Amino acid sequence: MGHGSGDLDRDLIIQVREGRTEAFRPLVERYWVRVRGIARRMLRDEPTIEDICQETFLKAFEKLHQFDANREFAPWLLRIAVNLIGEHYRRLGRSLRLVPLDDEALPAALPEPGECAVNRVTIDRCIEGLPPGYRLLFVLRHGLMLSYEEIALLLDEPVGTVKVGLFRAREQLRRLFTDAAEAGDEGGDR
Amino acid sequence: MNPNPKPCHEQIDFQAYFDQQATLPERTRIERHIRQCAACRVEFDVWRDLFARLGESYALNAADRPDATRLQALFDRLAARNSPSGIPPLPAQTQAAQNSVFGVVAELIRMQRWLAGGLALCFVLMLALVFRDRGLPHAPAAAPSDGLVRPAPAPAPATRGFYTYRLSAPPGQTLSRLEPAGSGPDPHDAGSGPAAPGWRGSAGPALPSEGALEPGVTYRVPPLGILFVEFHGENRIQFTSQARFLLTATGTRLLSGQVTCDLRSSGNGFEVTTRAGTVMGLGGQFLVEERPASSRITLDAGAVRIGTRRLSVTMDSPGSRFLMADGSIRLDAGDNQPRPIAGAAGLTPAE
Repeated sequence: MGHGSGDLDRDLIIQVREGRTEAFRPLVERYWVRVRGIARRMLRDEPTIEDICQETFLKAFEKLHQFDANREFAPWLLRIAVNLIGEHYRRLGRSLRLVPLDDEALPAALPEPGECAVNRVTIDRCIEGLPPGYRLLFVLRHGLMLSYEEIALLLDEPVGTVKVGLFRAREQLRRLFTDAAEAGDEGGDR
Repeated sequence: MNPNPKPCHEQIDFQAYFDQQATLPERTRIERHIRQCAACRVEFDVWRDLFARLGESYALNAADRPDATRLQALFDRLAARNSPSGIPPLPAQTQAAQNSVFGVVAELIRMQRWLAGGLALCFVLMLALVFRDRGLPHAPAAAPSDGLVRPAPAPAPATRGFYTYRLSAPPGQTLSRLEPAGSGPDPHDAGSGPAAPGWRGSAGPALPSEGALEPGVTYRVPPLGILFVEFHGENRIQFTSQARFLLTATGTRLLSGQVTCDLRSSGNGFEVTTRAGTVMGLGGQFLVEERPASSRITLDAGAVRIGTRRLSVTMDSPGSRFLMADGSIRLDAGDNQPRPIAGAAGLTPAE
């Protein structure tokens, strides 16, 4: 997850701790895209997304003296972002926990009959219907391309839970498209 | 849709394969099996498509990048929070920089990396425009020396922007740029227009899995790779099937493989040039596949203008057509074979 930039990050962090706060800007520039990437796919309105991004970096700046500079900066920072998003969901009465995914998880997201092609719009609509924890899994795995172990660490879940969660969510998506294709064939409209 | 192939009872974990969790022997076993089993090949294609779409849906893109305003808002808040909390405030010169003309310049210098990137981009675009107007290499779309009938002028220049990319590929497979290799004609190009620069080159160094593409450079997508390209933040292009291509001032020149375009209004006029002709997007989704003796176009939504050395037409209803090397346009009746077109068949002469 460090992308070979650990030494540079460490230098910048040390500079910030020594009072050269302008050294924080390159860290923001480097990691903004990942923090916003998560927030934009988990939250709907732009002001909230922007606020989560800014709060993540503000909190990181304030807690930087607690950070172990021998570890990678990215997981620590993304954990802050995920926690803030989790708090936002809790205020709305929802949770980022990986609840068991049953067959009824995506009823509102079914593709139209005959919509057998796996297109981006349909995928987006289906994933929108997933519980937030699973959407977060997709963001971390397919967007940030984190390993299962990195995702487990971020979400404070066992690796097995992450693997099974992704597997089941994808199986559901796959099944939706099969069902839609069969419905389309029976309807004969394609 | 594929006809129902014979069911197969082989246990294949397609998710592990595409999620890069399968071991090398397991991957080899799966690849060997799908070459022989039609049922599993269908399933394999569905999972490949699903993973590609997931990657595309969640890929970090231009909308995630920081801009100067957002960063400044953050640093303003940081400065406001720092002062009372005892954490060292931003340096005085930073705060002054926010409040004066000289400060703006200083701020720009502080953002020299972005500035340098912007200047480099402007320079590349200016070069592309100059080459385009003068008909020099790397601007095939503006130099109709290949005898193609060009579609009517583009509604708007489509791609004078920033091409960002992200490669989805198994470990060890990377995007590469092809280094030019002399001026000899490529065997695939025989008798069908000028060879593109770099067409026959050797693979250069592997490129990172995400970054920006340069106009005029020939790239090659790895065997199982999908290259997601984006411009103007809303237009999405995918190169697959080991595509080799280069980007021009007005679009892309497809040398082999496939490209799928999903264009919004800012992408109108984006051109895909093949050996047989040019396809200009007018919004919507279409696919262009470069084949040995033809180029296949499949329109899913919207419209395209097609130009060959003999014809210039608009295609505005979903379906597939073949651009033939002799400049004719043929119908794909669903069997992936070119057939003569009876009547207009969804094609109208371009204005």
